[in-house]
Amino acid sequence: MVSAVPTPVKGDRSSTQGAPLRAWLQDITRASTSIFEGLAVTMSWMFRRPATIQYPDRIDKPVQEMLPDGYRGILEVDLLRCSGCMLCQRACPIDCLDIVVVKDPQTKGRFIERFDIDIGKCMYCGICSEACNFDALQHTTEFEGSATSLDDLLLHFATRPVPVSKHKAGQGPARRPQGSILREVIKPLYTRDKRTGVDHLAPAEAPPAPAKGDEE
Amino acid sequence: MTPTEIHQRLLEVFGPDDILGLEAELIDPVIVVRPGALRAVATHLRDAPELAMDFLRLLTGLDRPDAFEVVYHLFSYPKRHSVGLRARLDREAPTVDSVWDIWRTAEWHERETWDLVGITFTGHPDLRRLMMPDDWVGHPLRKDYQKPSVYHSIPTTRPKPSSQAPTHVFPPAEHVAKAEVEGEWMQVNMGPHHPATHGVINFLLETDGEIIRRARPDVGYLHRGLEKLAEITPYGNTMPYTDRVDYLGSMFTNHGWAMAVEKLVNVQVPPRAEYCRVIASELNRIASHQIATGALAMDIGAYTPFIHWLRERETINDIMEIVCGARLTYNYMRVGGVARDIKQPTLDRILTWLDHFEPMIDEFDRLISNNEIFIKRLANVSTISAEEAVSFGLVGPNLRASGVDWDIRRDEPYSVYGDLEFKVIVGQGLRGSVGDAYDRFVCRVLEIRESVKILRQACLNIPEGEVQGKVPRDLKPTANEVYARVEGARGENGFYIVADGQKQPYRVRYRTGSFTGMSIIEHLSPGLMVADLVALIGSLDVVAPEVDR
Repeated sequence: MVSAVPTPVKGDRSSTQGAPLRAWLQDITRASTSIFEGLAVTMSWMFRRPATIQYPDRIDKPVQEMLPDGYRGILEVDLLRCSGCMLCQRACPIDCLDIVVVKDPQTKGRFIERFDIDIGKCMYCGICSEACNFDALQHTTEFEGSATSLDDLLLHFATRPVPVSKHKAGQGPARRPQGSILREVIKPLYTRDKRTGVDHLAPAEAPPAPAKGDEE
Repeated sequence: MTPTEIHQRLLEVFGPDDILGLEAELIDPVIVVRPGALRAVATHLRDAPELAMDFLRLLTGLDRPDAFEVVYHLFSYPKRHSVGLRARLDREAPTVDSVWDIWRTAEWHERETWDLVGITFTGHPDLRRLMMPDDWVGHPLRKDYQKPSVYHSIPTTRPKPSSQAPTHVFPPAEHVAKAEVEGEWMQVNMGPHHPATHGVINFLLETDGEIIRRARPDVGYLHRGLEKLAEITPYGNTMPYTDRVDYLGSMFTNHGWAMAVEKLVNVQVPPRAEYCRVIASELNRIASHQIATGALAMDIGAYTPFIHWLRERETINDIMEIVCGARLTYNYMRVGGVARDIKQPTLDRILTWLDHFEPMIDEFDRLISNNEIFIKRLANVSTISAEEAVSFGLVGPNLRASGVDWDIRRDEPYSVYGDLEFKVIVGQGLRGSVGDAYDRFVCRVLEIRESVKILRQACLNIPEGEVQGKVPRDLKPTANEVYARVEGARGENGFYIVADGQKQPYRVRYRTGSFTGMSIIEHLSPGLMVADLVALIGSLDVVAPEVDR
């Protein structure tokens, strides 16, 4: 069914007034001068500093170190500071955190048995790290998270039950440098040959990262 | 006129049988109309000189427990007043008269409402599904909707990766390129993956040689159900989802959502936060217009200007990384403020960058805006008159290029735009007629210059203070309805929220500029060359996820 009444395009394509031949010549003159104008701009950039950098191997330092502190990269949690309050899990809009806190029936102590972050689902919004009062859950500047299977994107931060932190906000053990915990947990897809500086795909039979053995 | 006066005027004309009441206690008042009288009331609202409601901002359906409702939000450009209309429909057979010929933008709005809520519009010329596939069963935004677990053997839910995921079985390829010759015309698919469609959109072209008989946009490839998601997500947590409505202008959707919720829960935003919002928004506007103008040039065939704009946009991305931690999905604003303060070094960096950037705009003009071939290519192509633009609900630069002097930032000042000085760019018909593709291009380039001015003032005048106001821990607004709008890069970003006293909204409708921009293409396409369609799409600055949401 035809829903719209056809309206042909109004007006003439040429905007130049005057005699046809003069207008035609004017068009050609204007077109060629403006082409050279544009080429002059392009040429001038041959003598200016290029804005591009050669990622990933021809840079002075890793991109992770160039990024600002507040960058919202892959999440990591410092379990030594985590109080197991679950505020982050409640704040997450898409339920990508999976935290299990258990109670030891004998000692009455609480343990974080599981702290999983599904970075395949995470949308890096930063609402969970804002909810954390203890500086435990943080975004890092790590962003190279590619993996060969979805399972590798499920990060297990609790390799064994960790007792919950009883420190008040702003106290407790010092926060470990951002990214250091994550690099222990995440399974690297590539390994860099130190001698040649070339990246190789990690071998399929590589021993599982220490964090893979989840106690469940 | 206030909504009460409009209600009185309608009562005098139609009487209490047709005009059933005024819901004045709502934040944005709504007049309830008998469904049978809707067309007459709508025509009167548009045509009566003292009312002159020429712009249908929003049309949507609501699934209430006792009835279906259709809601119309109207606005008048000449009189600058607004009001809502509501018709309650029978739950068993929700049917109402179509208003597609009164406001042409209703055509697509009604298609979407039928698709997602299941309200039938009698008299609509082309009531097909818009977002969902044609063979979809049910209407997803109904409250009793049950999602099918499988669609064409594709599971509709994703299991947690820790559980054993089933192997996906994809159906055999059924899609064959449609190219049928009927008489003298041919049907060609342009898209879904076409570099000039700026996202995943399919255009069904009926062409006669190089001349288009009709181009029918087939949208919905990026329909992620963000409105449905907002119904199950608490108010504060919807913020990151609004980033995804329009990925090139996340700041505006953030701002609109924050403003709508602030209206609902009555929260004051500290002045410094308002300035932070304006600075972030204007940076985003520059970045978005750069993509729009650069990509238009690239579609036409000029690749260099796009790369030059991307180089400048890189600095905005770097600044955004410092300001909010992300380069595209900013998620910067919060209800009652912003997530982080913009510190003085960052403000200084913005000011330094602006000094560097302004000559770059001149350079861009030398590269492309004043290029005679480029001008000839765009001048007088797909001219949109002011009446067409208003009737089709075009907003933002597309509307202004057609000669309508309207900018929400100046005319309905929100945030701190009232304190800042800037000029509203209106199409002049510089090299062709007013409202052609070149005007739309120039409008955006000039708006970049205005944004630079706004940024300078905002960075220098930003007051000290808090950036987050006092907000209750659980946002639980009482039952109410609100419509908040901001001037985004692609025009009016409207947020219509129906609250019912829960932690989640009852119904959310995102009104976006690309949706109405896309709906005018079918109207403009007859008689265009195929290559000019590319110029039309590019000049309208249509962003696919914003159409589909």
